[in-house]
Amino acid sequence: MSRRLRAILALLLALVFVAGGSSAAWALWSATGTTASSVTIGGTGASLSGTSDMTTTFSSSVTSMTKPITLTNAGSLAGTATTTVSVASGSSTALARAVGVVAWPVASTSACTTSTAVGTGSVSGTWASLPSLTSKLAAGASAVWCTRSTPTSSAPASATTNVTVALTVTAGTWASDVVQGGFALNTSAAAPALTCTDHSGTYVEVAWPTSSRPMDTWYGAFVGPNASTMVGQKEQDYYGRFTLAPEQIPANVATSGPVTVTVKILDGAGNPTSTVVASGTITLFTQNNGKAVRCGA
Amino acid sequence: MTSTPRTTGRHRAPRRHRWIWPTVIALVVAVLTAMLGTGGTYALWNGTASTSASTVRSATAAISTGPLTAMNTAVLGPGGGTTGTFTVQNTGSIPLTMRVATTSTKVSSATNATTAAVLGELSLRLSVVGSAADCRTGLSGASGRLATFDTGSGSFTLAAGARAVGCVEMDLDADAPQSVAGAVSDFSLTVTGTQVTP
Repeated sequence: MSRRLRAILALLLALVFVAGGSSAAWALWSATGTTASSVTIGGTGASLSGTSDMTTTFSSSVTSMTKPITLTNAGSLAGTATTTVSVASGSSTALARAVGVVAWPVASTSACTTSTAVGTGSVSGTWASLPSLTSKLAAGASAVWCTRSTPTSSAPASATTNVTVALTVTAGTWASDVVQGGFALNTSAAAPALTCTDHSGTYVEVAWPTSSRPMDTWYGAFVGPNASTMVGQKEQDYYGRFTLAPEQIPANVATSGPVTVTVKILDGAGNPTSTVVASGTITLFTQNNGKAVRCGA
Repeated sequence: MTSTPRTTGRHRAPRRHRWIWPTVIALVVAVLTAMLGTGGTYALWNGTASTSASTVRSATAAISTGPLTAMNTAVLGPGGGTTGTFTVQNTGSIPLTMRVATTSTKVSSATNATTAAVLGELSLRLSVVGSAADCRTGLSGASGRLATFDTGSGSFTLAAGARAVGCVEMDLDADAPQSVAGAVSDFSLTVTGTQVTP
């Protein structure tokens, strides 16, 4: 290395050191701290109960059925419960269409009885086509719907329909698995018709068909829901008929219009059995400004 | 034999620099004259004094972070959010500019989705609030996916001794697939306070 080159190098290094040494060091102080937590993503779920208790056989003595259905949000997210109904293939769609349904939310299953009046928020239809029983539910919460099923006169006798109720709980774009519950609705064989005789509106005589039962078998005439209200005196086959005046029909059953009369066999204590021997319709009306009754609808 | 005396001497050596001495003498005289004329001594002024004793201390940079409150008291659904708060205090002696970033995540209980799928549906938002009671969903602030959340430097500044409340909001995308249901995500946030640039 020549003397001149060394001199130049020394000069450059001196310049670098001088220039570099004149500036400040820019390292900044810092400190750190850490904190932690956890989040959980929820899920949806649903459960359904009460439908297994809804299997019923309608007859002249069982004319309606009132039972609760409980919808439960079994997930961890608040959501909306919705239902659909369907009729299993092979069962009677005609019967499902002929059974009217009204459903309304109640506070608890115990608040759903045959005497409970239909409440607010009710939906109605048939078991072939029933609007959704819709409830907004918090996670884990339940809603009870009271259902009242009443077959219409067009319901076919000796029919069975298998109804499925499906429940889904949705939360935003998420939906639970569909849960289902089912029950069967049946109708008994048509009861023999009563033989009815008019007496100018003053009263009617309704007679049940003769049978091979002992002549001293006791019978009662019943009206009202599920044919639960006995009217008139109990009778035996010796007499073979009931005499019914309009005043004998309780006002809470009807004050006018058609009334179904069902004749049942009574047990030894005088209470009705499930055996229906005949059924028919009488009609209350007004005649000469007074109560009157006649045969037929 | 007699000799005749010489009437002229030998050549004398030539006189050189005969001007120096007069010049020196003239300069000395001039200087002395000038000095006498100014009257100054040409001595430099100086003086001394002492300051009172003092101590020089180095500044400190330190922060203290509190625990993030439980955020799994409410579960997340599609489009839903949950919040939590933590405190951070500048316990040093210089102002600090703060940065908050996710430094670890752990996904568990995801039976139908991968970790990446779960983290890909979670977003984190950070805002600074006056108190924990002010923390709620929907506040504005830095946001990003949980796994890569980073406010960057200068998120907020804390003077020495100052304290702030961080509001952390975790959101699940509204279109999150149902396969992420049930997943649990643990995460850690690191708060870094850096000396404000002088």
